[in-house]
Amino acid sequence: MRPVLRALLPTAAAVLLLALGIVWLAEGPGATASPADAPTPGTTREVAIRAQAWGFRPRVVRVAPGETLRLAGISEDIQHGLAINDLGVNLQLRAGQVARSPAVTVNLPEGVYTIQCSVFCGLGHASMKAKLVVGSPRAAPGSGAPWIASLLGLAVVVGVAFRAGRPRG
Amino acid sequence: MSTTPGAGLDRRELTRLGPVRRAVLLPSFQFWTVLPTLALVVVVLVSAAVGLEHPSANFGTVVTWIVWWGGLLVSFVLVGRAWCLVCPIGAIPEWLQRLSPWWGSRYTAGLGLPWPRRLRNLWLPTALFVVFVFLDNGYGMSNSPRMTAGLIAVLALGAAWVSLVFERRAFCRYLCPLTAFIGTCALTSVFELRRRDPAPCRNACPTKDCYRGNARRYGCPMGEFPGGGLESNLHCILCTECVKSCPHDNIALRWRAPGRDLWAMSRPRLDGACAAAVIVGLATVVPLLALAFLPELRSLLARLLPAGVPPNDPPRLAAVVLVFGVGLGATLGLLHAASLLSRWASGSARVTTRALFTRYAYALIPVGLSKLLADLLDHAFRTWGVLSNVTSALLLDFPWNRVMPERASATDLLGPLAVYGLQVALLLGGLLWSLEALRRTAPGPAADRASGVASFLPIAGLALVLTLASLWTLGSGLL
Ligand code: SF4
Ligand code: SF4
Ligand SMILES: [Cu+2]
Repeated sequence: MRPVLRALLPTAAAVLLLALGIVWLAEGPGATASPADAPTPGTTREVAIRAQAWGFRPRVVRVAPGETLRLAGISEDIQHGLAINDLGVNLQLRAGQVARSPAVTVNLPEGVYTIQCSVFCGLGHASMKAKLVVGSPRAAPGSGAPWIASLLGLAVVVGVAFRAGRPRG
Repeated sequence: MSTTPGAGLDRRELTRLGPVRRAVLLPSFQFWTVLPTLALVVVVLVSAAVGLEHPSANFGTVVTWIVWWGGLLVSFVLVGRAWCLVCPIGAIPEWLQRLSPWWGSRYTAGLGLPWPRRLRNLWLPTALFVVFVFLDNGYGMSNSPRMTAGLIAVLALGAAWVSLVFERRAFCRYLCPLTAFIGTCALTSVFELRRRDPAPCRNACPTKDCYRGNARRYGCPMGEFPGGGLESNLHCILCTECVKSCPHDNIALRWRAPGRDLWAMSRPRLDGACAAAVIVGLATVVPLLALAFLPELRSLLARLLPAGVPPNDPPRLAAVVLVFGVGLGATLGLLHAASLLSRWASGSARVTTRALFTRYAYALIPVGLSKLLADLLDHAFRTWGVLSNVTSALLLDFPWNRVMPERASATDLLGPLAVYGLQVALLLGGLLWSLEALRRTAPGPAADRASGVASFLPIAGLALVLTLASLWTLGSGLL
């Protein structure tokens, strides 16, 4: 078992370090965008959203239940989309051209909804998301999901490692 | 054609089934498979060239970048390089070159020069693949109908020109920007074309028709020698020409352990391995870095470079180049480090780091492929309905595609959390697949369990890290 330990220690250290780096990269530098202004009920508020490859600013848009919004989107680079499926909004965004949605009333239960790019825009498209927070819900249900997934990944590796080294055929 | 298939005929063989056998023995087999794709590509080209300038309302862009791309990713696992079998961009220049879609013709067009020796590898196509992905991510090729049309036109003209100068399908093998990608991903296939039995090839076949061709059939268009060196799916486009030309009926299509090439190649090459590592890096590390740094990097570079007009402003393009460079460099560096550690841990003097690097790179393909699929899965489930939208739009103004459809908004098939669950399943499946391939390639005497496990750990750790990168990149929207 000596050789296994000798390999395990540097591997585990490197994996741990890189994993921390990954969590920081996914959550840290890109997540600095500020939330939108506080809602003022009774009027139509214009919410400005800027899109770039690959993300939105702001990353969190807060609205009051029943509030009426108009979304104004613009791209800072290539073409993107701005879709909130739950509100039936889907805008095409181009560089330097503001696209405005019709006024929409947020008749949604309190909760967190996804704002997403609706145009297949490249390698980072799948993570081009922002949040529409309606009211003041408790923590988003998905926030623990990457942690659970990571532990499952670790379990897969450990499982296969136990099979490794057996006579091959 | 002789019908004494000899030894090696087994249950897994697909060419044993009557209908399959009749189909692949049909001289015009490939011709008929190309026709439908050709029709589709023509419609795509027209609508992308003159249709609506809207990426998710234009039939051409949606079919190319969602339907075709998604279909391509899935097809690797099922049928290897079968896209190349039906690809008109490769087939039509070949017909032109031999002045015949399928029958034996006495005349040929073109110079038939041999492809330069120095370029007989995958280095150039790997570089071209990176350029291709850069065009998409730097210039937004996949959401510009005109650029999509331009790409198809450039590829078609390039392939035609190359086939008139060089022999066989030189473009498809050595130049197409997708060939390194398609070839290495095809190693994951559950399906392969191989000779049945080495004996007739060695002892009873002076003519080697599978490579050279004969009066009725053509030699392998990809320049492979199925009777000899063919031991992976890397270059075989399943055109079935060799099935027809072999006088000993010694070529078979068969099922196999999924992705067997990932660990079982006897002479894996470094060029393909680097192609594999680049694909894995583009799928996993580069998107994470882009997510974290691209906007900040762009504003940083804006202080140094002229502003320009977005989206093609120098600061942004330079930032994308940097992210690509750092991401790919990091991937190759990590793979090298893992190979070093693994060699040291194995305690074996017989293996070289380079040999480990090469084998490991191929074995990591499922980690990259599953991420590319997971990316597309999100789009497919969250913007469902776009395909019927663009199809109805196309029918309103066929084939010009200039009329905006009455657009239903993007509709979900699944909520974001459910989609993430599916993505996790895919990514963990890819991880498991890579680990199984890595376990089979691990060096060291098979009897020594401890050193086998020891050498497996570092590379398994890297596979885990790459999967974590994907899990967190895709999960960042949920946080
Ligand atoms: S033509 Fe048939 S028998 Fe001859 S080398 Fe090729 S596969 Fe073998
Ligand atoms: S090996 Fe056979 S099926 Fe494969 S590309 Fe060559 S001729 Fe076609
Ligand atoms: Cu986008």
